[in-house]
Amino acid sequence: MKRRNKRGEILVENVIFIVLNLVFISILAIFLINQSSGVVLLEQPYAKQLALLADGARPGMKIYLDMTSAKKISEKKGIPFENVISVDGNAVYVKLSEHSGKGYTFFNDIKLNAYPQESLQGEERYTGLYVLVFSHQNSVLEDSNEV
Amino acid sequence: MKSKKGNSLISLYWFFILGIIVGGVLIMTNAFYSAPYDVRNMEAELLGNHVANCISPEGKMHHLLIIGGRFFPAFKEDFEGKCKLNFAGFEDWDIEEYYVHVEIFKGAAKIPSYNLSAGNKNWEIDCEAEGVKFNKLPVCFNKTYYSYDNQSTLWRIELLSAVSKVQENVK
Repeated sequence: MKRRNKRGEILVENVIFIVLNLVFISILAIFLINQSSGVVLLEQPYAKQLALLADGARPGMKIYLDMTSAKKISEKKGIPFENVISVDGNAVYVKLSEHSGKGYTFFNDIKLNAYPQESLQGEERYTGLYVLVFSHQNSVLEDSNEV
Repeated sequence: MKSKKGNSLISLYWFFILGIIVGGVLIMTNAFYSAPYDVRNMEAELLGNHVANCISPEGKMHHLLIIGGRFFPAFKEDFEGKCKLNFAGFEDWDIEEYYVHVEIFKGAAKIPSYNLSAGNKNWEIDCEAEGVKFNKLPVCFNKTYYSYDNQSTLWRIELLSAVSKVQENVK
C-alpha cells in the first residue's frame, strides 16, 4: 500500500510540473507570435512605405498597394478597412487599432488620394488592395472613390 | 520526506530560471520590435533625385532656370514651389527636417556660377562630418551630374540632400 501511494505522489507532481512548464512555454510562444504579427509592427512600415511612394510619385500616377495583412488586423480590431489610411497635407497615417496609429511625412508637394479597392466578387467588400492616386496639389479632382 | 523537500526546491528553482528566461525574451523582443525602421537613406536619395529631375528635366536645364545663357533669379526665389517641394512636415515640428543644396558650375569651373538651397541649413554642417557614425545625425546624399542648356553650354551640377527625422527613424 505504501509503495502504491508513493508512486502516485511522484506521478502527480511530475504531471503538474510538466503541465506548468508547457503552459509557460505556450504563453511565451503566443506572446512572440503576437509580437511578430502585431499592429505596431505593421503600422510603421506601411506609413513609411506610403510616404516613400508619395516621394517618388508623379502627378497622374496610380499605385495599387497590397494591404491584405493590414486588412485582417484592422477587421479583427474593429477598424473599417476604408479608415486604415488617412492623408493630412503632406503626412500619411496608418491606423490598425483604436489606440494606435503611425504617421510619416513626405516632401513631394503632391496630392495623394487613397481608397480601398472594392471587391466585385464574393462576400468581402474590399479586395485588400489600396489604390493610391497622385495628382497636382491644386488639382480639382475630388477625393472620391471613382477614378 | 527529504526527497519531497528536494523536489519542491528544484521546482521553485526551475520556475525562477524560467522567469529569468521569460524576462530576457520580453526585454529582447521589445527592444527588437520597438526599434523603428530607418528609411532616411532612401528618403535622402529620393529627395536628391527629385531635385535633380527638377533642375534638369529629361537631361536639359530647366527652361526657367537659365534663360539666354543667364540664370533667372525668380527660380531661386521660388525654388521650393518650382521644384514641388513641401518641407512643412508635421505640425509639431519645431524645425525643418529636410535640406537640399544645389551648386551649378559652368563646365570644369571651380567656383559655382549659381546656387540654390531650401530647408534647414544646419544639416549641411552635419553632412560634412564624414566618417562619423552617429545615427542621430541627418542622413545625406550627394550627387554630381552634367547637363546642357538651350545654347548647348555644359553645366556641372553638384547636389546635396539631407534628411534628419531622427525621432521617427532612430530609437
